[in-house]
Amino acid sequence: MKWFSCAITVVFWVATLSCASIKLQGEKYHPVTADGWPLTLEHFPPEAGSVKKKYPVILCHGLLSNRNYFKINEERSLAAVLAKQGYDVWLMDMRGRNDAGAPGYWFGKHTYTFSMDDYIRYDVDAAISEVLQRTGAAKVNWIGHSMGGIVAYSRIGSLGEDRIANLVTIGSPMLVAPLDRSMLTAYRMQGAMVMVPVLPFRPLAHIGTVVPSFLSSPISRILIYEPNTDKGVVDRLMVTSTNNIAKAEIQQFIDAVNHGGLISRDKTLDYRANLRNIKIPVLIIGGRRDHLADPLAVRDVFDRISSRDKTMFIASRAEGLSEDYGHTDLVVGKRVNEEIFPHILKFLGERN
Amino acid sequence: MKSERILKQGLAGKKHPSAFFQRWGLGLILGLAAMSLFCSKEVLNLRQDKTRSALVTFEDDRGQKGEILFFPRTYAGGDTYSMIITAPVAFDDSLLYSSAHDSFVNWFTLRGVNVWLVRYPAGMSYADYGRLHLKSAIEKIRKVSKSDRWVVGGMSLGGIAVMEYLMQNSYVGSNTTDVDKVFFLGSGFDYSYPSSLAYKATHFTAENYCEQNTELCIGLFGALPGVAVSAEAVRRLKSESISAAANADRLGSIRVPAIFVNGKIDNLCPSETVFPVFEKYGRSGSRELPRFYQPSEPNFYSRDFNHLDLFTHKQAFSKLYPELNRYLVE
Repeated sequence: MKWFSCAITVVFWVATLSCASIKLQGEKYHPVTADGWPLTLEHFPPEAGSVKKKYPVILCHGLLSNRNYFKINEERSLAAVLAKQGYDVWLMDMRGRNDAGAPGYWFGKHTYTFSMDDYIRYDVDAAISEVLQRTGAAKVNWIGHSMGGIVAYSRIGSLGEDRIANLVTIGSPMLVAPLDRSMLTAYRMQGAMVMVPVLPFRPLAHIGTVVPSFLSSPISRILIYEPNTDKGVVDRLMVTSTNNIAKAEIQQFIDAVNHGGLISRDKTLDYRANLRNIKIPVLIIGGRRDHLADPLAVRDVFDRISSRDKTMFIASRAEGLSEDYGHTDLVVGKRVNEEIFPHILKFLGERN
Repeated sequence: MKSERILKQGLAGKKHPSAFFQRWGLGLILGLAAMSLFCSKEVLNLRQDKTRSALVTFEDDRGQKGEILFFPRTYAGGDTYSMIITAPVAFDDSLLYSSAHDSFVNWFTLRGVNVWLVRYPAGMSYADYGRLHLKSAIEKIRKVSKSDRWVVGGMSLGGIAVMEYLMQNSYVGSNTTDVDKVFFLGSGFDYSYPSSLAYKATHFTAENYCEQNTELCIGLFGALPGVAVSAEAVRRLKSESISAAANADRLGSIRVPAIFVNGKIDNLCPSETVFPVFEKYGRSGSRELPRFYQPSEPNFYSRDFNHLDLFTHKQAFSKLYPELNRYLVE
């Protein structure tokens, strides 16, 4: 009986993995950062017959994720929708993601020693340079989900990045307030990180696909609002779009809790305070139910940036939407094509 | 064997006087117990009924007549504190004490708290409700009632009035030191951003707006348990809510410790209207930093709370109010 149960589990797992492959594939490039890390850029050119837009778009994923996140819904994904509208779309993997060579846990040329500062200083720079060089454009549009927006805020505000024409952020906070007791518990357990080389979310997510939901729900509830996400998408997210988190990345968020906002590891740059240096057009999208980027943190950004052309949109039932959106369903939710993406297309369309 | 047979016959109820008494006596006792239980339930209902409240009238400094509902504590075993609360403004205040369901007022009076509800004179501005009306009401209450500890609570949009009261007194003197603690339950404050409800509410033209737009109102407030919503109170937020940036000094100089409770998916008083005020509240003078609390799934609630959940959800009574009470008595 025991062997039979194991066999069923393995079959189910293999079936989940095989169903999780993504058919939408673009041409891949691997630019190298100034400090020697390979990245991945996946290119989706504008659809034939569409009106070509002024600037290409870079889509940047969040902390726990990778670029697959933006194409997981295949033809209904943000990448495909933008390409159909005539945008030259580039999906970006920051360092430490598998396609450019996964870092070793303990040994190897690269290990999980990087922080968010490295994304901000090196990865964003390398990605923009590569896209500008390949497209010949003067600037890019940047769309970042979660940390993908944070790195853009930080680079523009603190490092004077001027090659981003328009910025769209989705669920990107610059303030980490431990409003939730489960987050606070995790915060208090930070000392346990010394026991592991990296927070191994990638293998845990694979296991999570076969673990009963009541066991995985305390974590997944914070990340995924399942009633607003198709079950198949949740499984594909777990298998194809989850990444490990380097300890220094988490430490940077812990520093943000202690300091009251995101700062650099060496504490010389106050990324949150420097939001005032942002003057480009910005669309800020938040989810009413988002536990990682509570709308209070989203509004905090909105109030701090100096842009005259700035828009904030909280995806909620008060806006007439079908749901109060959470964190991941802002990009992969059941009705994003009708309820979220049109706001992005309208914002970019008016400025491209 | 013989004795066993006799015993069985006896147990079968063969006309033995003691057996008769056992059967009917027991029934009588059970009946009396049921009656007493019924009566005590009636008494309990009477205690929970809003008719248990006393009406106190007063005039504020402008001569505006006002009403205060007093709900005496129904448990005398503890000497806790007295609580003065505002009306929710956008809803009828019976939401807080109705006997039709568990209520906020009943929960606290049953735990030894005297509750005073300062009713909202229809049409009054939030600022006047706080600076004039609430101020006069508090003075009146404190003249007629003695308590070692006073707590003031802003309920829903009535929290704006409490904040106005606190800001005014933070300037004029040390009155607010007479208040031991303040809480805000589902109170939004700063609606001064373009996509806020206050800017959208201009189309809230009819007073029966929610009856005509049920879906949107469910999205805004949560369920609608027969509670009328004042569209006018929501419309006025655009001009009468508290801008944190414009009132930074006054908010910073408030000295009363406070807790801000906000439903995670509260679309009427969302967290982004609370946090700018919370962040500045008491930063230069409070005895302790304010706290922020969200009933939500990651805080081990069964669901993310919407606005009306703060007053009607069963976990408000089993989890949220105990948490709030713990903060208020600690």
